[in-house]
Amino acid sequence: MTAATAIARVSTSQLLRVRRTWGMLALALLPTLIFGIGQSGMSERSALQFFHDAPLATLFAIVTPVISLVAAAAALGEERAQHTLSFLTVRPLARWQIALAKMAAAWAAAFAVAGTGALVLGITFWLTQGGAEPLLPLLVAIALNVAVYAALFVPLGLLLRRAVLAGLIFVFVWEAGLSLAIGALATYSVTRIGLSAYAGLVEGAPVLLDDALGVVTPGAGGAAAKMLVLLLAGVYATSALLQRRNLA
Amino acid sequence: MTDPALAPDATVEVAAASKWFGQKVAVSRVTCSFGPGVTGLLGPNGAGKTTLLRMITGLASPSEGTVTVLGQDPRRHPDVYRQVGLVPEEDAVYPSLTGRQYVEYSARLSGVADPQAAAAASLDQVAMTAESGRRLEGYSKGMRQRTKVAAALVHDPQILVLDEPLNGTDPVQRARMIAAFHQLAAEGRTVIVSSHVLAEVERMADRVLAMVDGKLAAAGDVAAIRGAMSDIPFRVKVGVEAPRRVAAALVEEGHVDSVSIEGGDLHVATTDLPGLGRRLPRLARDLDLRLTSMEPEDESLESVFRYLVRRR
Repeated sequence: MTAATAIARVSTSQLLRVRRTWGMLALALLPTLIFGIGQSGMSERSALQFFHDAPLATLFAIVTPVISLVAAAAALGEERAQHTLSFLTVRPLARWQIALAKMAAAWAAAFAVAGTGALVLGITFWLTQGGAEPLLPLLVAIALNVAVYAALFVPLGLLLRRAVLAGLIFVFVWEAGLSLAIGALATYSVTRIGLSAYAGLVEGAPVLLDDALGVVTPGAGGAAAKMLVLLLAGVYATSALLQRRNLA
Repeated sequence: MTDPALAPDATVEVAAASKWFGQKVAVSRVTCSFGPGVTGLLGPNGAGKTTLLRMITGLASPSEGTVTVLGQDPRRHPDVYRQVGLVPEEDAVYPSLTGRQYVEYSARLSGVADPQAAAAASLDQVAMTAESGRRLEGYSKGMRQRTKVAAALVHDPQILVLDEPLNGTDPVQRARMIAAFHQLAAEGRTVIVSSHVLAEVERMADRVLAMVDGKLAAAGDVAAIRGAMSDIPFRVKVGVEAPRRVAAALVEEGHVDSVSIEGGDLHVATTDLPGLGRRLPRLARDLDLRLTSMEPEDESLESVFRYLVRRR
């Protein structure tokens, strides 16, 4: 096992501590609850439209960013709070390796929870509506979205003591607020990266998600490319912070 | 004459290094070096010891000056960390890991070929094998300290930096750790140990660098430091019945620099601490009074260091 793998493995288990995981899982199941209650008595067509409105909006705009925020901000934030940063950094490791390992841990922990939420939602849709098509695209889209949020929130956790608060302001003011309300801003929304990947993988979804996508073009390839660019930027920013900041 | 702050065969070199945080100067133009053997970094709390150690280990960058480890800047060349082990002052442990997992994790991060074997050997060195299956959150402070030392030693570093390593350890553990530091020094390693307790440093280190207010106050072997301190008064708090009578008797004898009574305790300033230690019990017996305590005052050490800085 390499040093970076060891960091990723230990960090993932630290991030998935029992109490935090249960709390995040409860949040992850919220879209399923909304869908379960909302779809009863609806026609198949209405239920399909409803699935792509409230439950998916909740999953992509609130549940995934909040879960990613909690995990990613803690990835290096907890190391700082526990004074264990020196344990990681006084090592023969390049800073980018530490940054990448922490991003991987944040991604794994957040995806384990948000992905479970998406899986349960997809299975519920399958069982109630008889269509399994959204299941895999949902998981792919959530995986992409979690990676982008990890790229944003891991360095934030190192930079700010109140990273979760700053992240929540970003999520609720920007992702769930401004970028939804003003169509032209959708291009700069992280939520739309996941939604566009999902819409690109499910036939008919672009029409159903037209309002939510705004000016963003559906497509998994484009979403993956954006994710990759942001991930590299996140690793670079985290490495630079680890290199330049006084870690005392 | 060579500067006593500079060690022969230096592995760690600090050249006119300063560090400030905003308006606060933590370390001010310190020049010193460390070589094989145990070097004690002595000074009161807030003297700048921890900041200097953080600069040496690359956790903080000097605002001015340079710090090199084995000829390289550790912040630019992380490979140098293969030869550095750090025991920080803070707890710096993962509470949910067991002692063994923690030391093995340390071994993996340092690229040790067989982490399990290295961790077992290192835990054995600090006598923590029996407890190593328990989670760190259940350890006492002393046990955590020893486990941190094991984690710092696990990759067999040439340079070991220990910030207040004896904090929280009991006398038996302390003796064992001090013996381990001496053993490491005998193997030709550079061991840098900080402490604010002179008696601790005296037991651990062959060579001492004393710091106060971010400056180097004195350097040399322990005898030299003690010698430098010998001509300035030490303050001692004395617990005794009828302190006024004792104070009057001490002044009459003329072997003290000053006496004062604060809060019912007698405070004595003297340059002859051992002499005071001999005279006081005799004096109490002659006056038929009970002597209950005699403690050096913490700020006394600080004032000694301040004096040394002014003189340097």
